[in-house]
Parts: sequence; structure tokens; C-alpha cells
Amino acid sequence: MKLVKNYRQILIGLILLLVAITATSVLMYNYTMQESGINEQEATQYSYYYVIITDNSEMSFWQAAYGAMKDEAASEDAYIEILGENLSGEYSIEEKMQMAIESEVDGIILEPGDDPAIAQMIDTATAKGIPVVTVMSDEVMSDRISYVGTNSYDLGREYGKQVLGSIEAADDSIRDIVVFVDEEKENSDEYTVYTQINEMVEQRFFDPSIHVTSVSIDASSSFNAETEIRDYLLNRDENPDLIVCLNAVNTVCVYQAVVDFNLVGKIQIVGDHFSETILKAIRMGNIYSTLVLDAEQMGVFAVNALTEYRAMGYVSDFYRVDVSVIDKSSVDSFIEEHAKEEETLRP
Amino acid sequence: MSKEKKKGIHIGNIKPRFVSIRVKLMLVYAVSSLLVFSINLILYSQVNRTIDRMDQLYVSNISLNELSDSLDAVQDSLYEYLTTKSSDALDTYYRSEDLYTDLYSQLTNQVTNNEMLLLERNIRRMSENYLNTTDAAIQDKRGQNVEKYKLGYEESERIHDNIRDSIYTLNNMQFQINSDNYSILLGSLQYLEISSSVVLITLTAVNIFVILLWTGNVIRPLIRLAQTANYVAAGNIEAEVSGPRPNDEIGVVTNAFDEMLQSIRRYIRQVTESMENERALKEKELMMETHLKDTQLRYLQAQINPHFLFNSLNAGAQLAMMEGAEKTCLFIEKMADFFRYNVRKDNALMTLENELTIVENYLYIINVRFDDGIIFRKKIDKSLLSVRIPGMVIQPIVENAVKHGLRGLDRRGRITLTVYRDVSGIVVSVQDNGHGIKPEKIAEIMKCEPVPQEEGSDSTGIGLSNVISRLRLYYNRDDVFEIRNLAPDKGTEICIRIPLHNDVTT
Repeated sequence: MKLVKNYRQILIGLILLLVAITATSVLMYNYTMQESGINEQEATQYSYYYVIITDNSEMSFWQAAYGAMKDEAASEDAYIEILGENLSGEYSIEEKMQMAIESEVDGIILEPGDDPAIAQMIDTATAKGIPVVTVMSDEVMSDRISYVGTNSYDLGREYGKQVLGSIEAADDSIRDIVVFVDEEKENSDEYTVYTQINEMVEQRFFDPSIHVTSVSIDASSSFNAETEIRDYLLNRDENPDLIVCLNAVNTVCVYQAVVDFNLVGKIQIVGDHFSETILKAIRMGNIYSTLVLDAEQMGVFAVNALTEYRAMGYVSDFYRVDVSVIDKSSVDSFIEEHAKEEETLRP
Repeated sequence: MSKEKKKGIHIGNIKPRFVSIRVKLMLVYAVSSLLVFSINLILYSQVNRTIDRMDQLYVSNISLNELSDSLDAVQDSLYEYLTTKSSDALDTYYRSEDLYTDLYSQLTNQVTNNEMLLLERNIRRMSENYLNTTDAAIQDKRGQNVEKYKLGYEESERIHDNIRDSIYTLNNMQFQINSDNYSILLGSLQYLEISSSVVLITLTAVNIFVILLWTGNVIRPLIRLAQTANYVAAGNIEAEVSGPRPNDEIGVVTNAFDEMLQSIRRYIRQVTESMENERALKEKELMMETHLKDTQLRYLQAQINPHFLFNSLNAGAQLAMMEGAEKTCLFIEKMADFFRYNVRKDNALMTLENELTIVENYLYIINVRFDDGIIFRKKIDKSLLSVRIPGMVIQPIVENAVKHGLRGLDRRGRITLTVYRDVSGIVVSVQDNGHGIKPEKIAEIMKCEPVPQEEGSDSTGIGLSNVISRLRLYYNRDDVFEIRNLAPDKGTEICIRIPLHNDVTT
């Protein structure tokens, strides 16, 4: 009888086990299906839709700015995206502007290129009730509601300071200074920077043997800059003593070329923005300093400008973004701070 | 406890329903099939769900393709109308515009942080703008405003390209996600394969166990029955089938077997009883016979009545004394003594002296009867007279010597009785000078077979075989009695050897 009882207990146990295994398998199946997001079309809804239009979205500066914009926009019940980033086709700034207008977005943050048609596009957008904020470089002649960034004059002064500092640090051995600009146009922002540098050097030294020249580097396509910089260095009879770069890509390209051509110590560099390579080079003394525009500040200001305009119908014409200098003395603290920020950004 | 007991009694009182083995086996089959079926149902539903999802996977791509095609149709018909101004083209344009409107209005209009949904929204808004542009171009064509409709067409072509690219991008994204989902579904199918294998293996184990348990329940009583049958076959008729009785055919067989056992036991008891009775009856019969014999004997003894005989003989002796016949008187007295000793009832031991007196009396009587023919000599160790031996032993030996040794002898008969002590004990020897005895006769006597009493013979009634038997039994040895022939025709000697250690003295 006892044996029979045991059998029954085992049988009940086995059936329970079977039920448990079956239930677990069904639950696990549902769980994996849900976990894998097969049913998922989750999305948070927002009331406003802003777009960023730039050709340099892949730059770390823009990524940092975008992160800040996203957070700021989210806090204002708006969603912001870099337009055209996920589209398969390549679009010019103008085409992107058209697309934004046709998509009836609620606001545009624009880094205008040099295309003269842009101003007209900005006007069209504004006419259709889409406010446009320009960042990095301004489109003064358009109906944009606000500009967020530095003006090239200020930037030029800042670069000038670095050039002077660099000359002094090198014990006046620097005579030949080259500024890499996008295009040698007298009215372009970069050219303004160049003229400021030139002016400051002239004013300071009154020495004709110290001369600042601008060299145009076409950075319109990705690999051009690197090739042109190398060609420039190879074709010159005498290497420049100091190269000033006005964007991050040029800075890295110049630094890499200097290392490759074994010119470290012979050519000093003043750069723009930062990357791991640039920071390392500053620490080793291979790059004198770099100017860093506060990307997050710019992002927040740009979104704020749109929000404010939407609420008030008008907005401040210019938001000034801080520029900081990273040189050998401040590089370590910057790295530390930056690492902290990265950590907080990465939830 | 008491509750359980009550419950047990309660259950015991209800006769369980008869369930046939066939039904039981059917039940086992049904239960295990039901298990398999239900588990399979669950597994199949999961597989079906996966397959359904696989079917739905690329539906979104297909609808996006439709959207794209319909957009192309709008653009193509617009171009055709602007080129030909044909009413057919216009008709086609309106139809494709309707279709396209239907399709794009299914897209979301919400701003979300999901890039695909956002793209959908943009496509929708662009499509609205696009259709406005195409409509305007159509109107301009109708109004023959060549400049405007040309511009309108270019505008529409540009927007069309943008929308197409957006749809294409969305399609790609969707395809990417669908492909990911497809591989997830494939993975989940593999998972299903493994999990269903595990479930089925467990299920098989459960089924095997269910079948083992159930068939065990059916077979176990059968095994118990067979065991009991073996016990019974081995002779243990009291064996009983243990364990609970199932309510099936085996239960019926077990009950029948039990009844059979009971009836066999009953039958055996009856047979034993009747044999017992028979034996008792036979014993009774024997007892009755013995009693009858005893009665007969008593009757005979009563007939003899020794007191009557002795008193008569004593009266005869007194008469002879009065008449002065002294010899007659002595003869009658000796006879009286002889008979008194002979008919004594107890089997107690006698002293040698008593035995000798009997012998003397006997020989006196014989000599009176046969005219003083026999010479009697005795050599007695007087110290042995008080030795006790079984009674009526020596006189029959002497009687045997007189009857068989000396009768018809042509010389005078002589009997010598010697009692002496030797190393082995006391020897009583009776020697005659008669005919002697043949060796084969000696062997026959020593075999101790009872010799039938001759009717009306002139004997005291006790034969040699009786004497030998009694002596052998009493002393528990075979050499207590010896017969030997003396030299040819010199007579016979019979010796009784009484062991000393065995009750020699009083």
C-alpha cells in the first residue's frame, strides 16, 4: 500500500514537473518574443518636431551638441533629429531645407554652408511659419530668427592669442605661419579668423619676417582635406613653422602628416576642437593648443531660441557660445571632466 | 485517527464498482493520449504563433512598396496629363491620387522619438504637399498657364524624388528590423524545438510511469494470486491471497480462488474428522474385544476358583490323615502347595528357595504318579536361596526334562539341579540323563517361537519358549538361557545364568 502511495506521489510529482516545464517553456517563449522587441513599436510622443541641418553631423562636436539638444528639446516636449542622417540619398543643405519645409517641421537649426541660395530657403521656411536658427556660422542676410555661436571676429582674436602664445613659447623661432581655411573668400568666416590672426601678429611684432599666410583646403568631400594637406607639405620647399587649423578634421590630418613626415618639433600646431588624438598630442607637446567651442552650450542655446520664439514670437538675435582653450596646462583636467560627462551621458 | 477509521469503515461498507481490465487499460491509454494531445496542442499553438508572425513580418515592406508604386502612378499620370491633356490620363491621375491618399493617410501623423515613425510622419506631410503641388499643376495645365505648370511639375518631381527616397529608406529600415525579427523568430523556433523536445521527453517519462503504475495495479494482484497458488502447491493449504482486491476480473478470480481454497480446507477437515471417528471406532472395538477376552479369562479363572480347589485338597489331606493314610495325606498336601503356587495371580519375583520347593513338590507328585521313577539330586549353594528371580522358571525346565528327556527311558531317570556362583553370576543348572536333544531342536527352542498348547496334554501349561522370553525380557540379555547336549545319549543340561549385578539379593 505504501509502495502504491509512493508511486502516486512520484506520478503527481512528474505531472507537476511536466506542467512546470510546459508553462516555463511557454512563458520563456513569450518572454523572449517580448524581449526581442518583435511586437515593439514603442515611441514617446512629442508635440514639436525640430530638425538639425548640417553637413558635418558625423563630427564629434556635432554629436555632443546633438546630445545636448535632444535633452533640452525633450524637456520642452519636442523631438529633434539630424535631418537626412538616416536617408539613403545624399542631400545638400538646400535640399535638406526643402525637405524640412515640405515635412512641415516646427523648427530648424541650421549650420549654413556657403551656398548663396540658403538665405532664400531660410526666408521660404520662415514664410511658411518655420523658424530657423543658424549655428556655427551666420546667414546675416536672411530671415533667421537667431544666431547661436561665436562671431568670427572673436574667434579670430582667440586664435590670434594662441598664435602669439605659441610664438613666444617657441622663443621667437616661429616665422612662417600658415592658416588652413576652407575657402579663400574675403567675406567667409574663416577668412575673417585668418585676417584677425594676421592683424594681431603684425600688431604685436612689427616684424616682416614673421608672416601669416592663408592656404585654402577644400574639405567638401571626406578624403580631400587629408590629401591636400599632405600635398601641401610635400610640395613646399620649406615647411611652415606653425600651422593653424580651423576645424577638427584638419587638425587631426595635419598632426598625422607631421608625425608621418617626421616633422614633430619642427612644425607647431594650433588646432580646433578636440579628439582623443588631439588631446594626446597636446599632452606630448606636439600640438600647442586647441580651441573648443562649448558644443553642449550651443545645443541648449539653439533649442532654447526655438522654444522661446515659439512662445514669445521673438527671440534674441545672437547667442554667444563660450570658446575655451585646451593647452598643455589644462589638458589633464579637461580629459577628466570630459570622461565624467561621458559617463553621465551613458546611462 | 478515529476519523480515518470511520472513513475506512464507511468506504469498506460501500461495495466498489466493478471496473473491467479492458476499461482500465482503455483509461490508461486515454489518459496518456490526453496528456500527449494537450501538450501537443500547446506546442503547436506556439509554433503557429511563430509562423503567423513570420507571415506578418514582411507585410509592412509590401505595403511600403505599394505606397511607392502608387506614388509613381500619381507622378506618371501627372506627366501623361501634362503631356497629352487626355481625359484618360486625368482619370488615371485622380484614381491614383485617391489610392495614394488612402495609403499615405494610414501613416502616422505624430511626432515621436522613433525614427521610423518620424519618417512616416515626414512622408505623410511631404505627400500632402506633393499632392497640393500636383493638383496645382493640373489646374495650371487646365488654365494653360504653361510657365506655372512647368514649374509645378518640376516641384512635384523634386518632392516625388524626396518622398521616394524616404519611402525607400523607411523600407530599408523596416526590412532591417524585419530581418532582425526574422532571425529572432528563427531563433525562437530553435528554442521551441529544444523546449518541445524537453517537454516531450518529460511527457514520455510521465506516460511510461502512468502505464507502469496502472498496469502494475492490474498485474500486482495477479502476481499475488500466483504466489499464493505456489504456496498452496507447496502444501501450505492455510495460505491466503494478501493485499487489496481489485474490482476487476482478477478480483473475481481471486475471490473464486479463495472460495476454492476454503472449500478444499473444509473438505480436508471433514476427511480428517471422519478418519478420526473411524479410528476411535476401531479402538473401541479392540477394547471391547480385549474386555471380552478378559471377561472370558476371568470367567475361566472363576471356574477354577483355587480356594475351592485348595480347600478341597486340604479336606482330602485331613481325611487321609484321619484314615491314617499318611502317604496320601502328604501327596495331597504337596499337590495343594504346588497348585497354590501355580495359580498365584501376581507376577512378582520369587526367591530361589520358593522355586526349588515348587520343583521338589512337582517331582514328588510326578514320582507318586509314575512310581518313584526319577532320581532327584540337588547341589545348592545355600547362600543363594534368597536370590529373587522371575517366578515359575525352574519348574517348567524340570517338567520339560521329565517329559522329553526321561519319558520312555530304559534306565532310571535322574535329574540334577545345581545352583552355584561363578564369575558371570549365579548359575542354575538342570541336568538329566535322558535322550538328549537334537541340535536343530535346540535352535528351534532358542528362537523362542510360541508352541501351540496341545489340547488335554499333561502339562502345567508353561512352555520353555515362555520361560526363555520372560528371562530375556527381564534381564535384557540373550545368553541368560542355555541348552546343551551332554555326551551322546547322556542327557541334556539347561542353564540359567543370572547376572549378579541385576537384583541378586532381596
